[in-house]
Amino acid sequence: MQKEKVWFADANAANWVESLVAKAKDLFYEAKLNECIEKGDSVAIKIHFGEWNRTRCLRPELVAAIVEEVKACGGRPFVCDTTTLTYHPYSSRFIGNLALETATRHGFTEASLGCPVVVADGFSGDDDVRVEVPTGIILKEAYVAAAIAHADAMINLAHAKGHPVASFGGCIKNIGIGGQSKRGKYHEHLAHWGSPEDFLGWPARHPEKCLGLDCPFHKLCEDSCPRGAYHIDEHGHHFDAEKCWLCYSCQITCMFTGHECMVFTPDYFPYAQIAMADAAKGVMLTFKEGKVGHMAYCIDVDPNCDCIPWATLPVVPDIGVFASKDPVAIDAAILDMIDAAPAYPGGANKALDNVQGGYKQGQDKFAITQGTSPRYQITAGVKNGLGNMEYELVPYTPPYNEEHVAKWQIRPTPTTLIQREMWKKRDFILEAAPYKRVPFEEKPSYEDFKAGDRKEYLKKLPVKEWADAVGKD
Amino acid sequence: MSVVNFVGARERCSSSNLIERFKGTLRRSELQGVFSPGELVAVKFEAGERDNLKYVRPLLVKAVVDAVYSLGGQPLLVDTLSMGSKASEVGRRWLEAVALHGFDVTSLGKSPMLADGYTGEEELLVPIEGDELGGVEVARAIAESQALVVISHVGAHPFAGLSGALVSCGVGCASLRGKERIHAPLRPLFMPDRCDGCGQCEKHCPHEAVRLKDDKPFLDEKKCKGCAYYCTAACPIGAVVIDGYMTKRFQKRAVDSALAVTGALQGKVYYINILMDVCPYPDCYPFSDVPFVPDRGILMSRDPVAIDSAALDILNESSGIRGSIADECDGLESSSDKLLQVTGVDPRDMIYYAKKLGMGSSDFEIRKA
Repeated sequence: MQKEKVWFADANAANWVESLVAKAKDLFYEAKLNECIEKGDSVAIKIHFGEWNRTRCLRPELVAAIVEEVKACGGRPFVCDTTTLTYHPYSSRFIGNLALETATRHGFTEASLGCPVVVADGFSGDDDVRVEVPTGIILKEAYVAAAIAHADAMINLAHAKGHPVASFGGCIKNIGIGGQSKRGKYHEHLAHWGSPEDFLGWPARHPEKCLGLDCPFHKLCEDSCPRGAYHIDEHGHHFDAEKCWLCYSCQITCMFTGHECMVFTPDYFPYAQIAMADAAKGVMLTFKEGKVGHMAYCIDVDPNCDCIPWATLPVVPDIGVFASKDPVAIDAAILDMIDAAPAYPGGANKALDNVQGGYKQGQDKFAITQGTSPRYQITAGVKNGLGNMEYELVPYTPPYNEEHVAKWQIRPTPTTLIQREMWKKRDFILEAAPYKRVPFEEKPSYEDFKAGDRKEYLKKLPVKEWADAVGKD
Repeated sequence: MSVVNFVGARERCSSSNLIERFKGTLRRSELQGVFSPGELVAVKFEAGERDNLKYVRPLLVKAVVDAVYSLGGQPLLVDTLSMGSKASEVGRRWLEAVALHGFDVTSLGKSPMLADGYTGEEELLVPIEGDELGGVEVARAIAESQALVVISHVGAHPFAGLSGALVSCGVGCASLRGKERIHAPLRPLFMPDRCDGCGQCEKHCPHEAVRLKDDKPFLDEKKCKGCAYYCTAACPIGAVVIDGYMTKRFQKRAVDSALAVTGALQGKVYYINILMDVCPYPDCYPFSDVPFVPDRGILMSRDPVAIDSAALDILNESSGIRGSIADECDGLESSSDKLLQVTGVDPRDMIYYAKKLGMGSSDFEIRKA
């Protein structure tokens, strides 16, 4: 069976050429993503803006790196994301103006990226193109955000991390959900699929577990529904199934405040992943063959998605950057790398210690942290023709020589030469010299500045595990 | 004979778009001989004081940046500080004005910066031989550049007569200290017979040099830095004036400074005079008044004397705008000496002095695009 190539550069860096930015630029060409772009092409660079107060999103420089190379290929790039559904009561990206405020807060601006920043499905999220997906396993159509659907080419630039519903969010998810308009997202959420009783197209409700007016979060819970589908009174919890379109807001609110009334059934998650792969196929159908390149930064691998308004410690230490022309192969490779990597100390693994004994290196980490294996989306992507999960991982090590050091710097020649020229005209250092200092002979002994033994303080640190470890070596 | 390129402001159809004609003329002009590919080219624009509405639009500045890029240069977008704020405030005021006026990396493709630093004290002293100044403090970023393009918004100047290439290069490219020395001869005269003691001059002086005693303003000579525009511009009835012998010295000093700037850049300077929104005050004033001459177009030249002479001729040839200051000064006629009538200062004195210093020639040919 033919294997799709996936290029990979690790997150370690000890010199100029090993900067993640430099390696990402190298991978762009190694994976021949430049071939996706012809001169004059309008190129969508799809990223995740990240929710308000989310800190583990991509850094602007990592995105600008790709913008610059798309421009170098003659493309006319724009960086985009789409409006979201109201995933929680304080959603910050479900309409265009909130989405742009959030993007700006995370540093994604035209000034930092060097190209326009676009909400691809418009102000309200209704600007889309309907695409038939004949090979779809569950979805037979997709609603693709208009700016993406009308672009000539796309760089699908994902942040690889976990996801509370899809288990894992990589390149498939970045377009499978991230490339859909608002109604496309409801469609992909499987809203109104089946009946309210099967819990697949609606929240899994357990009204008997609702604390009613006694719940300290009952007002927030009621307010969290953008359609006013339910209310809570002295008789408990009332729900109008016709109004609900399954945005997860009530579920997120109920679950993350520690309650069990509005939840998911375990079988929802695999179906959601399969639908997501179908929707991703829909996005790919809006492009001609060979016009989409996929890249992912596998760093800050939080167990939850960038759409969650907080960030916790990662699942694994930073892994690196990946590039491929196959969205399924790249995600399969990333997942394998994440599973094979050691667990991040004190991360999600620790939280699971008491419950399931944590996970061991080599185990399916997201299956344990999220409760569902992320591989359904991969297999679905193979079955619906999105891509190939058989991959060949090509590790990339940048050449370390003068020419390559210079390659991705701010100027092609050493900038120190600019300073040398400037000092020829006026040398502020010599004007100030000699600096006023203590005579050299009277210099203080640095021995006097040594700090004493810190063990006493370390033992009192509020992280008990760390405090206990002091002096045990 | 010097060459002055001209693009007219009229736009009759899409293909006569001013920006496109401007960019095209620039690329074909002598600008290409001013710098070599890869060289750092300072593009001096004037961001305009906050609340000024008639500054040169970012679109025109962007056209110059694009032309420099297309000729292989590395543009450096610079402006300098205007006189009159505390060191802790002055850079911040400029940054606010720049943001409000739309000059930023997204509109220009390059972030603008202050050539004389946050406090206006970053400079390089350039010695020259002139009547007034032995040397001029040139804004450091400009002195460090390999070439310079000066974008001037042409208008009347209350102390120089004409605000054009000479003033923008001389005053505009000097650091704050340089500007203070250029302005040093200017001292406001308070006309006791006209003054009604309203106190606006005292209120607006940033250096607290004007004090009212018995409803009459007095100047503290030690505190006055000679910016001379906060007090003159503050007076609603024209009772604060500057004398002719002061403005003559100011004109000479501005030209001396321009000579230093061109010297610092070894003559690699190109001038662009924008004859649009021609107003009675330069852009460093916090107001602009209405234009008094219709938009005429854009001049480009390597010769500051020729380009300012051409600008003066074109303005004087134009008819004035009814209801503007030209109307009040009997300057509506198409042959009237408008700038002299509006400002009371003859810009020809300044141009003549520049010619005498060898900065250029008043013998020029206007080439229309």
